[in-house]
Formats: sequence, structure tokens, C-alpha cells
Amino acid sequence: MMSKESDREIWKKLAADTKPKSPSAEELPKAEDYIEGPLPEDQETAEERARKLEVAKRAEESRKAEELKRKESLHQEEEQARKTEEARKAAEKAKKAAEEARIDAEARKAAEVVKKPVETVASIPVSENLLLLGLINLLQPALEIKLESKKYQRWIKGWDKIIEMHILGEGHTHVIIKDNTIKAALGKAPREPDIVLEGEYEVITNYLNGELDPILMFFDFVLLRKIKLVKGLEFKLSNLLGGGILKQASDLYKLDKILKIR
Amino acid sequence: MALSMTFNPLTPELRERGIRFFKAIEKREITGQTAAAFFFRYFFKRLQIMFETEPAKLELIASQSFGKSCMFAVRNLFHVTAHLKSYDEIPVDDSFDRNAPQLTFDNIWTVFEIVASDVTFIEAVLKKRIKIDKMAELAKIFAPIEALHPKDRLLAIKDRDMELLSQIIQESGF
Repeated sequence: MMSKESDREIWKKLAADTKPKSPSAEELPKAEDYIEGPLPEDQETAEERARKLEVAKRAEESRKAEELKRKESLHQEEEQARKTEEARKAAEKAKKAAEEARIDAEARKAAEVVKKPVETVASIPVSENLLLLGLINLLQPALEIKLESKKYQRWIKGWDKIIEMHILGEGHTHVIIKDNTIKAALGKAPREPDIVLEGEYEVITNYLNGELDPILMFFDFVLLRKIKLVKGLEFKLSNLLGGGILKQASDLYKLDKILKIR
Repeated sequence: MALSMTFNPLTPELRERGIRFFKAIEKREITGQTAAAFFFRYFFKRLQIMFETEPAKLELIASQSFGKSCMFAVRNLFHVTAHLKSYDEIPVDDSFDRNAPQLTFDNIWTVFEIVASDVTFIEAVLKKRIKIDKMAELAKIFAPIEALHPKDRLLAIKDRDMELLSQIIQESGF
């Protein structure tokens, strides 16, 4: 029983000791005790803050220096680009002026030629076949344009062939394929031609324009009707066995594609 | 046809007028007959300037090229036939001559580009922008011109060439 009472006493005492005391009016903080601004720093904090400030200041200075350097570099680059552009324009202008001068000189020269009454009726080469000459003048630029294609350049690489076209009632024309170039000219071939075609002006011209049906063309070649393949494909036993016919046919196919203007 | 169908580059002013003229053709404000007449008239009149000191050549061209017809068509726009009678007389009508050669342009601007020297005739043919039917007949008309046509002449007559073109376009109201 005693022990119980003693315990109670102990608890009461403990409760009284731990009961929060209400502060007296003197102990409570007053309004004038509050000061605006940061808490007063100790020396260590102040030093730390100064150090950080110093680091930040240095970083800022470094950043500004970098920025200045970058701007200078940009400015230099711009300056360089401007100078390059000016130089390019000047070169272009000079080139244009040179070209204009060349054209003017050519025009003057040509005008002088026109002024001279150089040709009379008698001086015109009547014997010259204008139809064939015109045809060659048409064929040559067409061949040159075609040869700009890589495919045709590949096809004629290493070729040394002459194709002669005998145009019945008109004359001869020939095409020389050598050193990766093609040249069409009037007259007979300067040496023994590799391929000889023969036909009338109408048929040869229409053939060059691709107006003849390819299937009919095959029969024309084989049956030797409209255009005779006088030379270029030989049906020899040795050719048949050695595959020479295939090579010849392949070359003929390529020539057919190259010569046609469409 | 390669050289003879080569034209001088247009002056900026003429190019602008030419574009307006060809736009009118495209919009069908101008008939196909007028368009074809313009082309042939300009082409043959230019030869007269080019060979004015060489009447023999003009005669030779006339003897080989005139008296024939040439059909002139622009896909989906018009199809006409020009009757080449003389340098000054090239009537154009809507008839169809089955024996005449035919030039078919993919569109009217191909004609303009050739006249303005933006592209050569042969380049346009190779790019399949122009289809030629009865090439042999066409060659009979143009091959003699081609054969007698030196390139430097074209350059030499540039100013008069531009005057001629300007006059022909002006006659069409542009």
C-alpha cells in the first residue's frame, strides 16, 4: 500500500516538474526586441560569405571576358565573310566584264563579216548537198548532248569505230567514235568503216528520229529491206561458236540507241 | 535545225513582253493560228536580215524550203498547219495535211524557251519536249537553212533581230 502511495507521489512530483511554466510578462519578448535584417553573423559565416562572393565575382568576370572574346571572334568571322563575299563579287564582275567584252568583240567581228558582200550566187557551193549537211548539223549537237550521259560515255569507252551511212541518191555521211568522242561528218569514211548502213534519205532520217518501229527495224535489218546493214553483222560459223555475233549485236544495239536523236 | 533553230537571248524588256504574249496564248486569248504565224514569220523574216548581203543564199533557201507545209501543235492547246509560201507569206489555218511534217510541243512555254534561247531546239527534242513526226519531210524544209546558217551571223544581227521580234510582238498587241 505504501509503495502505491509513494508511486503516486512520485508521479505527481514528476508531473509538477514537467508542467510547462507560463512565462511571466517580463520574460516574454517585446516588439522592440525584433530588429529588421539578417541575424548578426559570426566571423566565420562572414568570411565564408565573402569568399563565396569573391568566387562569384571572379566567375562573372570570367564569363564577361568569354563573352567579349566570343563577340570579337564573331565580328572577325563576319568581317572575313564580308571580305570573301566582296572578293567573290569583284571576281564575278571581272569575269562578267571579260565575257561581255568577248561577246562584243565577237559581235563586232561578225558584224564586219556581214558587212562584206562575200558571197555571190556563183560562190555558193551548189554541189554541196545541203540536205546531208543540214542533217549532219542536226546530228552532231544531238550526239554531243547525248554523250553528256554517263551511260553512253560508258558504252563507247575504248571504242574506235566508224559508221558509214550511204544515203541513196544523196551521198555519204559517217560517224567516228574514237577517244570517247563522237563526230558526224559528210562524205565517205576516212578509213574502212566497221559498220555500213544504206538507205534512202527519208528512211535514214526517220530512223535517226526514232520513227521506225523497233520490231519492224529488226526485220528491216534482217531482211535487208529499208535500211541495209551492209557491214557490221556477220553470220559466220566461227562467229556463232565464239559468241562474236552476240558482241556485234550488242554493239549494234548500243549504236542504234546512240545515233537516234530521240 | 540545231543552229537555225538557235535564237538570240532576249532583252529583259522583250522577255517581259514575250511572257505576256505567251500567257495570252496559253489563256487562249490569242489563237493557235496567230501563235504559229508568229513563230514562222519571225523565223523566216530573221533569215532575211541574216542573209541580206547574200541574196543567193536566200534564193537557195526559198527554192528548197518554200512550197511545203508544216504542222505546228501545242499539246492540249492548238493544232494548225503553216503553208510556207515565201518569206512574206506564210498563211496558217486549221487544216490537217497528212503528208506534212509535224512539230508537237509539250506546252507553249517550250516554244517561248526556244525563242528566248533558254533552251536549244535539239535539247528540247532530246528531252522529249518536242515530238517530230515525219522528220525527213521536216529536214527537207530546215536542213538547207541549217546548212547555210553560220552561228556568228546570229550574234552579228542581234540588235536588228530584237527589233524584228519587238515589231512582230507589237503587231499582236503586246
